[in-house]
Amino acid sequence: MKKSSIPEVFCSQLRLSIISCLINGELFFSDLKDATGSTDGNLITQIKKLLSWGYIESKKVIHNDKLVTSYKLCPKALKEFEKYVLLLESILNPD
Amino acid sequence: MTTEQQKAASDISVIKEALDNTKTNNKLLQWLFLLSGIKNIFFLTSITLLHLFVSNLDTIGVWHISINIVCYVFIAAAAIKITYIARRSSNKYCITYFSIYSAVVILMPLILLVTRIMSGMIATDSNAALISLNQLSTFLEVALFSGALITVGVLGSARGFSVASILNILIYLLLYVSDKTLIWGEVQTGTISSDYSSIYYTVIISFGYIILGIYLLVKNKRNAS
Repeated sequence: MKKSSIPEVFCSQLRLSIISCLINGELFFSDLKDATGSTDGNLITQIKKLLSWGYIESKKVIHNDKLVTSYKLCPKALKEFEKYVLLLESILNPD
Repeated sequence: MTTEQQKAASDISVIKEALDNTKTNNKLLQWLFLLSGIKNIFFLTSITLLHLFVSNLDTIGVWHISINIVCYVFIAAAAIKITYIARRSSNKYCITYFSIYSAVVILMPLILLVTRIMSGMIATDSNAALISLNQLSTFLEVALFSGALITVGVLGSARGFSVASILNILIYLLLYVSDKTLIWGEVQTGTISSDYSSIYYTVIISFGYIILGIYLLVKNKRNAS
C-alpha cells in the first residue's frame, strides 16, 4: 500500500477503530459501541459503509433470548488492515 | 514530527486502544485462580497435618512460619510474573484485577508484619491489636474473591457473578457476626475448633478459586474451538 492510495475505509478513525476491534473476533453491536465509545448514530453510519464496501459482514443471532446483530471482519479487510499497519509503521520509522 | 507522522501515530494509538478494549484472553486469570486455590489448599492441608501429628508447640511454630514463607514466596512470584505478562497480552479488566491482587497478596502480609512489630511496642493490648489485624486481613481476602467474581462476570457478560460477589461478602459478614464455632475434635495439643466464618473463608479462598479457574478453563477451551 502506498501513501497516495490509502483506501477510504482507513480515512475515518471510527472505521479504523471498528476494524481493529473486530480483529480479536466477532462482536455484537453493543460490544462495538462500548469498545469504540461512539454514539449509536455514528456507529451505524460507519458500519453501513463497511458492510457496503465488503469489509465486514453481519448476521442475526440469538443471545440471552434476544435477537442481536453480530459483526465480523471479511478476509479482504484483514489483508488491507495488515497493509495499512505496515504503511503506518513505515511512516513512523522511515529508515 | 511531520503532520503525516502525527496522523500515523494517532491511527496507531486508535488501533492499540481498540485491540486493548476487545482482548478476550483470560488464560492468565485462569492460571492465577488455579495457583491461588492450589496454594491455599496446600497451606490448609500442611497446617492441619502439622497440628494432627506434631505435639511440640515450638516445632509447630517453626513449621508454621516456614510453610507461610514458602506459600508467600510462591504466590508472590506467580502474581508478579502474571501481572508482568498481562501488561502486554490481557485486557484492562484483567490488568486491573492483577494489580489489586498483587497489592493485597504481596504488600498486605508485609504491612501486617510491620504493624504487628509496631503494635508490640506501642499497643497496651497487643493481642487485641493482632486479632483485629488478622480479621482485617481475612476480610480483605474475602473482598478480593468478590473482586475475582466481578472480573469474571464482566469478562463473560454474566450478571450472576456480580450478584454472587455481593452474596459472598454478605454471607461472610453474617457468619462473622453470628460468632458460632464448630468443634472438630480433640488432639494432642488441645481442641480443634473453627468459627463458621473461618470455615467459609477457607472454602472460598481454596475451592472457590479452583472452581473459578476451572470455569475459565472450560470457557476458554470452548471459545478456542
